[in-house]
Amino acid sequence: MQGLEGRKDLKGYAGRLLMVDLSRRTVSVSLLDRADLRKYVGGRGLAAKLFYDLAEPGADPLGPRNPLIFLTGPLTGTPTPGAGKFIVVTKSPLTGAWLESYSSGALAWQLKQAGFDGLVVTGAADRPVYLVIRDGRGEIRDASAVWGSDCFETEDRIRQLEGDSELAVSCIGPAGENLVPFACITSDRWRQAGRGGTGTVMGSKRLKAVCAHGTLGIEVDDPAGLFRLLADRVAAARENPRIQRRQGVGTSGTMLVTNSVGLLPVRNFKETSSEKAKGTLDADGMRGAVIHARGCYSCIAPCGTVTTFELDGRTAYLEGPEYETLGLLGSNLEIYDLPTVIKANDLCDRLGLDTISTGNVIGFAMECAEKGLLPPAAFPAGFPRFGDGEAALALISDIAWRRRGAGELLALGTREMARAVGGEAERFAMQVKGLELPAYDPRATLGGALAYAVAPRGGCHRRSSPVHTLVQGQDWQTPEGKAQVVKGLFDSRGAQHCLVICDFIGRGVPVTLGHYAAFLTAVTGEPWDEAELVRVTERTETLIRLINGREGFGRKDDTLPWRLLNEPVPSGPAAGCRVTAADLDIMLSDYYALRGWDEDGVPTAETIRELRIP
Amino acid sequence: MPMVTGDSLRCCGCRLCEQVCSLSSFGVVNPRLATVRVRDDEANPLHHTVRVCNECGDCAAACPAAAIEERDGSFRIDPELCTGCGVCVTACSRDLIVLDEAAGRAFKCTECGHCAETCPTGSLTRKDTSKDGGPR
Repeated sequence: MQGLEGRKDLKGYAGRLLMVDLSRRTVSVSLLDRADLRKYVGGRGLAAKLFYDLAEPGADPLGPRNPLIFLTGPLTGTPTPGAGKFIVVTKSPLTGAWLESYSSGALAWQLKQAGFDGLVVTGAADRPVYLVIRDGRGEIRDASAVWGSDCFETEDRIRQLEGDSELAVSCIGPAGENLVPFACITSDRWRQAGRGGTGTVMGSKRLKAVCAHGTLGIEVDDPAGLFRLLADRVAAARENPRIQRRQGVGTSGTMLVTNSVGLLPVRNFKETSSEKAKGTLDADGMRGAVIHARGCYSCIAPCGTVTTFELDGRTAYLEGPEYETLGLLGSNLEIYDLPTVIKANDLCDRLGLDTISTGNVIGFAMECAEKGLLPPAAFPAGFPRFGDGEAALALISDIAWRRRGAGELLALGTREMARAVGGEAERFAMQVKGLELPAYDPRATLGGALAYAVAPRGGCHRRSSPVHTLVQGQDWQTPEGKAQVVKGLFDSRGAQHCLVICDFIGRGVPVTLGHYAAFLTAVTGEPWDEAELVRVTERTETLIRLINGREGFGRKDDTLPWRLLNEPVPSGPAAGCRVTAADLDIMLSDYYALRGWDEDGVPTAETIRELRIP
Repeated sequence: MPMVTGDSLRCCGCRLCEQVCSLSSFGVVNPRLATVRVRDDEANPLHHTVRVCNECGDCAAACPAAAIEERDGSFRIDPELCTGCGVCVTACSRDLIVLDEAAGRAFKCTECGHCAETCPTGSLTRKDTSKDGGPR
């Protein structure tokens, strides 16, 4: 193992990656390359570079050759607003495409404190293991005592086994072990790298958990300057009414907006608004249930909400539900009873399931039931119906354990389940590239529709923001100019994803990309400005396009579910809205042109050269 | 002089205070070196407890080198006199004194207020408590 002095010339970064080969059961250290950091910064950018170099095109996502990358950024673990997250990158078992998923959790800052910017896991163990990373060292441990346990039990038990109450634990539950393709990685109970099956890839490697505890400290270039920047932004946040409002209701405030303009998924995206959601699942409904606000590490605008519920006759606690869960396990299933949604959220968290994909696949099954498309043999107790909370709760558990019949069928994910069910089912399978849609129906906002079509991991609302594209796009029903708006959002958020900064911080919260450039300069001592951060994002976006390209993805895959392209919203504030194939085509061509990609969406040689890729 | 007080009920657990504290005292981000602490509340896993120095003076009473003296309501460690023996670390019931082994001396809260200045929820505040004089 190389000494900790490995990269003392870098501030903010630890300068080192832990390389773990689970097949050979070896760990080693790789030093970060300074030139790569200037080109890709960290997080999403650096992960793209590492994945581009390491991954073999065509490799099975659940095979030992699929690398699993955990990365932080240069600001992670420093007192910079929102710098408490890490990114997980791999090839998705749900889509076969590039997968990026972000999570808060103590793993982020504890990794950095332990002297690592991240880790790259390759191979697969022959029996269950977990990783423990402490001050410059990584060790592979036997996980047989926790294999089969849910996420909460796993976290507690590993801390007990290690005799370390401050150990950060990021783990998978039964869903990941059973290779459900939308299993997540759970940290600190209620924080998830939720989307696309990062937990599934961990399961395929028989890697139950990644744990870290560090005491080495993080050096920054300008401590006094960093403090002044932080104090200035905290003062601004304290006076920001939006942040103050959010502390009582979390992200449920979003539902007031989406329901009023017709972006809320209802009945598997059949409808886009709901009278019944008003005062039950939205901020007005949540207000009475929230007992406390929680923030992630280094957050200045906490959006976590603590709610309580009854579990086995005792009071239990949940951090959540947040907007996506309220939408997809709530209105999308026509379940308007908040305690039931809270229970469903808790169950997904314990079992290690993404609430977005889970809500989608259950909604899809409910619509299939309505249309008589489900095989009766798989549902001996009867078909699941919209509004049936008990059925939804039972299905969540069936999915995680892949129980015969319904569990096996729904655990395929929406796209594959639609193929298995056959008939017209594919028309209302609400997914892009295989990734189920988040809780924004884009028919009333063409910019949001484009964002879904071109996001590299599939149906994703985090590279851009459907609500923002609506607001910024103004005339949101014409395709012209939308590509510009979407690219702008992708690029500013992309910079946050390279820094691995929470992208909620930049939404109405007074920390701009310019501020982040200043934070980056104070931490690293290297001069950075907003324009160069955007350049890093443009480079990263094109590199990821190349990664997806070599897996066979192209323009044909940048599309939307049949329902969005063919069925106008039947009623409510967005009545009549739909996305036409012609509009989508115009937006795609515009977007590709702005990115320097050809008509097929392939980056041109000139773009690649100009962006100095890889 | 103004003192820092903590209200656990308002703490959201961001732990910016610990980072800022270590940055101010040691020029490095390391929560282990902070003289303010945020921990999970064991009775209620979704709440936190925040601990700040209450200037009780137990450290001064225990110091064998007489290196800790009260000045204007706040106890200060004299770096010239401190031997780094660690008796004050054990004496502090709030576990808020840290030993810098490299420098061979102990550090406690100096009431600088940097933590309160950067607390986003107002859980930590810095105010003059000498007038009411009550316990904190």
